[in-house]
Amino acid sequence: MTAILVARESSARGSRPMPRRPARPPLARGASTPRRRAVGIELLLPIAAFALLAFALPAMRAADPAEGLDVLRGAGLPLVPALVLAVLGVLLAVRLRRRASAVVALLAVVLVLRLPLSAGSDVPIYSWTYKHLGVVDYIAVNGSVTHGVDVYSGWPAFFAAMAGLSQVTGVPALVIAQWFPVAIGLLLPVAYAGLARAFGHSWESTFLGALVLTIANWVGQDYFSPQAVAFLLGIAVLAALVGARRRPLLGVVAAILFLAVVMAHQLTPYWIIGVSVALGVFRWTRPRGIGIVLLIIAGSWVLLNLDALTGHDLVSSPDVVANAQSIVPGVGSDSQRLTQWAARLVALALIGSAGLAAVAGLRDRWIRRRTIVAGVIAFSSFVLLLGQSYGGEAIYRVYLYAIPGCALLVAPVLARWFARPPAWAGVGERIARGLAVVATCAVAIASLQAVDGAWFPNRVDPGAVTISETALAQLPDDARLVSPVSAGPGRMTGDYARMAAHDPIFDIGLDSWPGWIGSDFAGETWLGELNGALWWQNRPTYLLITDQMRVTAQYNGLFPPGGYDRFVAAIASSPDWEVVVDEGDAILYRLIPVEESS
Amino acid sequence: MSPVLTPAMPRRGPVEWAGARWVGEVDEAVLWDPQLGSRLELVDGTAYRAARLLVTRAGGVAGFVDLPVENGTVDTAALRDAVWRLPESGFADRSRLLPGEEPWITVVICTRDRVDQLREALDSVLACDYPAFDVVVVDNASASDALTRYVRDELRDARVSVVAERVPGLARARNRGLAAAQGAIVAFTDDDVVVHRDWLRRLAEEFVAPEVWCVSGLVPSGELRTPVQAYFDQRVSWSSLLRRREFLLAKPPADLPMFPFSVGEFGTGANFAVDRRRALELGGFDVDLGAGVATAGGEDLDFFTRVLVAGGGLTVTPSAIVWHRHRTDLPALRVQARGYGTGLGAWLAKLATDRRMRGMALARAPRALVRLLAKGGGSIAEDRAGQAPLDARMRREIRRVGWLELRSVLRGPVLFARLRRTHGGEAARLDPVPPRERRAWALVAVAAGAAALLSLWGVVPPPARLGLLLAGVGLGPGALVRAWIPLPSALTAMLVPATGLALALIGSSLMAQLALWQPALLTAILGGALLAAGAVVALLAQRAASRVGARGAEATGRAAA
Repeated sequence: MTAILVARESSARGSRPMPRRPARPPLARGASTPRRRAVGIELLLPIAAFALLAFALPAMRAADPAEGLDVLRGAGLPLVPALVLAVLGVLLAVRLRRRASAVVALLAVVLVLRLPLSAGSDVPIYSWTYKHLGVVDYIAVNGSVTHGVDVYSGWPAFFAAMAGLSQVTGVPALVIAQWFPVAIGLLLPVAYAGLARAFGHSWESTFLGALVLTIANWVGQDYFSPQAVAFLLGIAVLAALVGARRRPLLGVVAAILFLAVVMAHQLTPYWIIGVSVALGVFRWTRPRGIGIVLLIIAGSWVLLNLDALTGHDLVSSPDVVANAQSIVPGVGSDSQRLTQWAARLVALALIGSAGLAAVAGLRDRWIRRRTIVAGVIAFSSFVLLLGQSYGGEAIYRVYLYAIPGCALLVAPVLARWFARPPAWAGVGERIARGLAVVATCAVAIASLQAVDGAWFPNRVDPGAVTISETALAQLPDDARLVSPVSAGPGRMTGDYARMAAHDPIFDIGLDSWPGWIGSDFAGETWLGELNGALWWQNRPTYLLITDQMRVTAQYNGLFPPGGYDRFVAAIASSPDWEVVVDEGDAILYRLIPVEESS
Repeated sequence: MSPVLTPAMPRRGPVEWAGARWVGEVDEAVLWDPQLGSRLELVDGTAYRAARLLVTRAGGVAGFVDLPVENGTVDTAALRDAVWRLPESGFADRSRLLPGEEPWITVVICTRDRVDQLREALDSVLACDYPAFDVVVVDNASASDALTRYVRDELRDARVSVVAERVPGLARARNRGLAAAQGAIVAFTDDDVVVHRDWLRRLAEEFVAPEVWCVSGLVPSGELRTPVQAYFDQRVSWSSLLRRREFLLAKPPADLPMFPFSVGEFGTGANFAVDRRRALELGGFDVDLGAGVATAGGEDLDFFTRVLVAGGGLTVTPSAIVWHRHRTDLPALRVQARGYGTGLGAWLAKLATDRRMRGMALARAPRALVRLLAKGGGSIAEDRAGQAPLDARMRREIRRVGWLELRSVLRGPVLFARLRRTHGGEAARLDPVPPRERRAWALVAVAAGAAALLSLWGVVPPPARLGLLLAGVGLGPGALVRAWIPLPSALTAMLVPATGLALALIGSSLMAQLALWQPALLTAILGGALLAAGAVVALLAQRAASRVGARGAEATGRAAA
């Protein structure tokens, strides 16, 4: 029996006396942790965030861009305190080591940033969502991919899976597309958590890294798109590769996941290959040569789909600076410039802090190799700029791919700051800690601006969806469906393939015409020139004008003040154009052919 | 009312050696009680001339004090004085568990034909002041059914269960206990021990830190009745690890140049606990090491090293106390010394064959050799409290035992190589996913298959069908993968849906590209395949799980007969 000081009466063998519980001895120094409450203030923070979000969403649905181009200064204003509260909730939950609260708070951060993209609009947000819906619809209707129309035929995995999902369940693809950003937004932190844990991060670091990932991801690539799925699976591939250090069987899982990425997206596999080669070099995966296996998989797929690449260059330009430029037409508005600066601030904060964390990590020889590997994941994507501009989107992809690695670098530093502050921290340290909290909230607000700054230009009009669907179904193959601004649901059904086979740019925006941007549409000659140019091709021509286009023109500064309205008024009063459909927020005009007008 | 001190362990045998010491524990706080008498009585202490007391302080360990004994009592003032001289750094602040936060712990005790000793150990474990634990006794190839009879018929404690491991070997028995354990934490101890009331609580407290995979504690000698026990006490370092330490590969301690191969610094197999999931991921214990097989030792050392090399944290906390009864006579000591030697040699051989650890080990080899040679030719350190010197014969014998241990180190690699060869060059490893866990994942696959099939039913409203299909595809294939590959929860949460998503993308893409568009048929095939494969895996896992129980039942049957 364990020796304890006991009273004589209770020392008989067989009985198990309770030890006398002495008062705290004079030499005792053990400080116990404060008693934890089941529900603390850290849980109230995300709850308040949810309430503010619920208050903001109906207002955002009803918001009118005439009241201001920046939704966050109007109907979306409650999102700002909601996000701050949610971010503080994560930090506080991590500080108090309450995982359940941290999950709820992180959920609040994700929903504040992503739910407005789905629930804040009647139809899917972002014009570019709809061209993907067209491919999905084509596969669902025809049971095969489009051949010779676009590059999607070689990488159809995402479209085919969504077509199958819609067909089997009876849920329209439009509905799936609408809720897609929320689903991806929720899955990305989960994927990152897997990567971070495989990397050996503590759960505090993992939560803070997931927070960094969520906040930094203003890129908007989580819409209904192959790259959203490819990015998600890409993180899973990296996690499996890192996990394969201990479980080599995970290498097989990684290869299967990678095959899906290869079949879904053109660019993402090369980022993964680069990282996997580096993981092998630094002995962070097994087998070390798995990068070569992945390269063979990706190369084989490209060879099988060379025909789909006809007309698309694998290496478009070696000019890194040019490839890093984004293509945004127009002179911009104050709202657009604010949004751009907000995005730049977030990017700078992420890359800068990751760089500092990397430098600090490289100086510590015990985490040097780990730092190098995280650095490779963070910064390897910039190599992609050596070969591709990717239609002006390369810089966004490069930044997107950099986010998980940057989060891996920054999170442990944040964890040291927020998770376990020493009780003996001095005043200076406490002030610095407070400033770090403020800075995190500021970056989060900037990210919210970057995500929702272009809310109105990105919001698609329901009437335009109805018109586009009808037009694509009924217009003849050689018809042209133009618009003054490239915005709107466009190629949203499989009928696009029929028209695109006749003319790949049948739906080009007039803002893509040389010299058109910046026109003030004053005078009357421009309309004659426009009609003449359109008549000259002798094709059925239709013009779609929507409210979204007006906002986009205003936001991007495509035309001088009043220019766009003069254009719309001129078309409406022109005898050469007749209204085919008027949905209120969208009007479809037909250019009366010369023979009819004469 | 005069207080008494009770011994750490009940005495087994007479006290015939003049240097014998009574062993017990005292809480420092009690010594400051002004009502305390001038002498403290030692229960069963009249046969001793000296005593060794483990002094605890605020739940931690302050150190050992040695005192003379007169008429079975020790002088309170001398004790106070000795305690006062103990260094203040004998314990550290630690995190404390709040009521309701205690993780479930399964205590695994492996034993073989030693019911009497087990009884004592079990009693002490069951008396632990900890609200959430159970005990798995692993019957490792016992010759009789006395153990099962004792636990099932005599003890009749719902917290205690028996599982059988027919193949002899401590590592194998520990793996069996690990597989049968319910707790997130699995604590291992031996059958020749008495554990402290706070043992489990102190172990659990260390697991609050997420990076900690393994915690070991103090194993002081609970009986110093014979010269052999005194020799053993001096020889092993794990009886005197009084400083709480946290080991991590990324932060090698400056004072341990051989880290992470610091033999004796990480504790011992009689007192340690592991994060069950992490232990399973590591593959459990190496069955070619440990008592019961030819190498006769080293399985605990191997496990500790693997934890560290894998990046896990290992904390040594002296507050978690397990009193150990060392061997009492020379023949038993020789057997033990031989086992320690061969175990150490086998472990070194394993290091040499491990690609990752070889380089690290070679860099530390010269210092290790010097230390090993210095340790050979066992000697007893000068006594602190006037212990009677050993006679010349005993000194000679003990020196021989020391050299026997050294010679055995050389035999270790040979024995290890033989065992490895019988396993085809690979260590026989623990089944990576325990049968019950595998069955659970297989059942998830079955449910996912059913959900996928249900999503095809037109009567179900579309949103529900969407949910069913997402659940079926998102969980099913990944669950089957998870049934075979053990993964931490975060990786599981990611890879399970990712696997399903990837297969859906690949399958759909092939259908579209080959113009074989049949999404409903593909869903039906997937659902059917998940149902069938899940059911088969679940059945196989069920059979594997019941094998453990069957052995226990078999033993019970023998007992009944």
